[in-house]
Formats: sequence, C-alpha cells, structure tokens
Amino acid sequence: MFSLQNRHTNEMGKEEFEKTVFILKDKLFRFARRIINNTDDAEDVVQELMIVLWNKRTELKKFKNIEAYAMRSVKNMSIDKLKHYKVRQDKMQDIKDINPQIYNDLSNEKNEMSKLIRTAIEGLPEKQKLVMHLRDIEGYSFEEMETVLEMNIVALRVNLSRARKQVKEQILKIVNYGL
Amino acid sequence: MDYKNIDGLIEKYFNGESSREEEKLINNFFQSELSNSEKYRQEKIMFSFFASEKELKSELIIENVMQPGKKSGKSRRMYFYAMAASIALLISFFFLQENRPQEQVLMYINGQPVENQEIAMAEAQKALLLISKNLNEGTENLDYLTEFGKAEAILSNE
Repeated sequence: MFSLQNRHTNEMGKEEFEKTVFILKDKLFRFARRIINNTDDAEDVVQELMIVLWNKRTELKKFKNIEAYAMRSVKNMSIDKLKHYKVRQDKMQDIKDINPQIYNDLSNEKNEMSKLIRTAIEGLPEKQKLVMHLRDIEGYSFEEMETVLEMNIVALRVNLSRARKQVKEQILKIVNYGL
Repeated sequence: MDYKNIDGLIEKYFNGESSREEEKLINNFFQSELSNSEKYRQEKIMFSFFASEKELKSELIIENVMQPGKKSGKSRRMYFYAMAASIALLISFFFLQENRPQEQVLMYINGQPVENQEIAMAEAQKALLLISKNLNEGTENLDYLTEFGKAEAILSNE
C-alpha cells in the first residue's frame, strides 16, 4: 500500500514537470542559441538546465513564475558558455578559425536572407540582441523581460528601439547590395 | 481589419513604444497582401524572419532529463568513448586475471613446490650461475678453432 502511494506521487511529479517545465524546452533552446550561436551547445545547455530543474522539482513550486526563472538561468548558463568560447578565441589569436565552427550549423540554411538577418542580430550589442529576441520572437511583456534580463523598463524600450532600427537598416543594406 | 493608422503604429514600433496588442496588429498587417508594396519591403522581411525563428525547436527528449546518464550531442560522444575505454579496461583486467596461475607457486625443486620468493630467487640465481659456468667452459674450446682459422687463412693466401 505504502509503495503504491509512493509510486503514485512520483508519477504525478513527472507529469507535472513535463507540463510546467519541460514544455519550456523550445523557448529555452532558442534563447540559448541566440546567445551562443551554436545548436549543439545550446542543446547541451538546455539539457543541463532541465536536469538541474528536475532535481530541484520540489522547490520549483515556490516560484511564482517558473518560466522567467528558467529563462534567466538559461541566459546566465549560455553567457558562461560563451565566455569559454571567448577564452578559446583569445588563446587561438585568430577569430577566423573559430567562426566557421560557430556558424557551421547555419551553412545548410535554405533561406539565405534569414541567415544574413540572423548574422545582423548576432552583431548587435548583447542587451539589444536579448531584448529583441524576447519581445519580437517570443512575444514577452515588459514585466517578464524585466525579470529575465534584470533591466528596467526604460532601458528595455531604449534597447529595443535601437535593435529594431539597426536590423531594419541592415535589411536595407542586404536588399540594396544583393545577397 | 482596420489598418488606417498602420504607419503611426510602425513608427511607434521602431521607437520601442508599441504595446503587444499593437505589435500583433502590425504583424497581421505584414502577413496580409495589403503590405505587398515596396514601401514596406524591409519590415515585411523583418517580420517574416521573426515568425520563422519562432519555429526552431529543441531535440531534447524527457528521458534524457530523467536519466541524465544519456547525454546529447558532444557530451554523448564523450560519454560513449569513456564507456568504451572502461569496458576495454575491464575485459583486459579479467583476461590477465584468468591467465594468472591460481596458487603462488614460483618454482619446483625436485618436484617440491617453492612459494617463498627469496628462496626461489636464490635457487634461480644458482641455476643461472651453473648454466653460465658451463657455457664459459664450452667457449674455451672455441679458442682452438680461431687459431685453426688463422692457420688456414695463411695457407690459402699462399
């Protein structure tokens, strides 16, 4: 009887985890990939975070907004991963060597335009890049962005405006000078 | 839908002042044929890019979270190599164990097993000395042969 009850609660935990946390995997992956610019590493970061969250599943219920917490965590983990890249880049003293590796997974991109816009966004300052991603791709509210990015609403709007104008300008260049 | 004030909304959008509802309206406008004009070309490209980016999905499966032993991508490859190496190590270890004699008998003297290492070492040295002594005795006789060879060389030169 006791063991049966135990199994029952375990199963509920798994189901609930899938519905409330695991369902966020695509959003987390897109955010990680935006920061790291590498599909494999973004997948690794998401898996690492999911394992951490699964092990902390009893504490998770305390959080009001699990999504914002998970997004903030994936942001920090991805930035850490990127720092390792930068250390490696500095050691190699040759950015050209590492770039093909980073952009490798984009090489079989069907849409050349998407590739160019993605590169334009990659070139944005980090805050602008992340604000634009959360708002224009994920459709976040300013309140949610405040929690994830730890920035105030004024800074968010300024960065968003700059990012949008910059990307529009880049698209104009791409269109004018051809692909 | 009413897009009368769309240009004003687009301006708000680029100033970072539009609400989510307004942005939805802008998005709908750029997905419609109404925006098929040279004037909106950049914005149309931009919004269709955002829409395509939202389609990206992670390949992570729930089992890889519940059983963290299974890793994805690079980590999985590393994990596989580590597994292969440890299996190889284990197999070779058992192989060596099996070929080793069961008891620690080092040698037999007159049919008696010797297990003490010092005795075995001393006995082995004795035996080796005996062999080398006999070998040296054997080579003494070879000196005659070299002398014989010298004589033969002199004869053949003449």
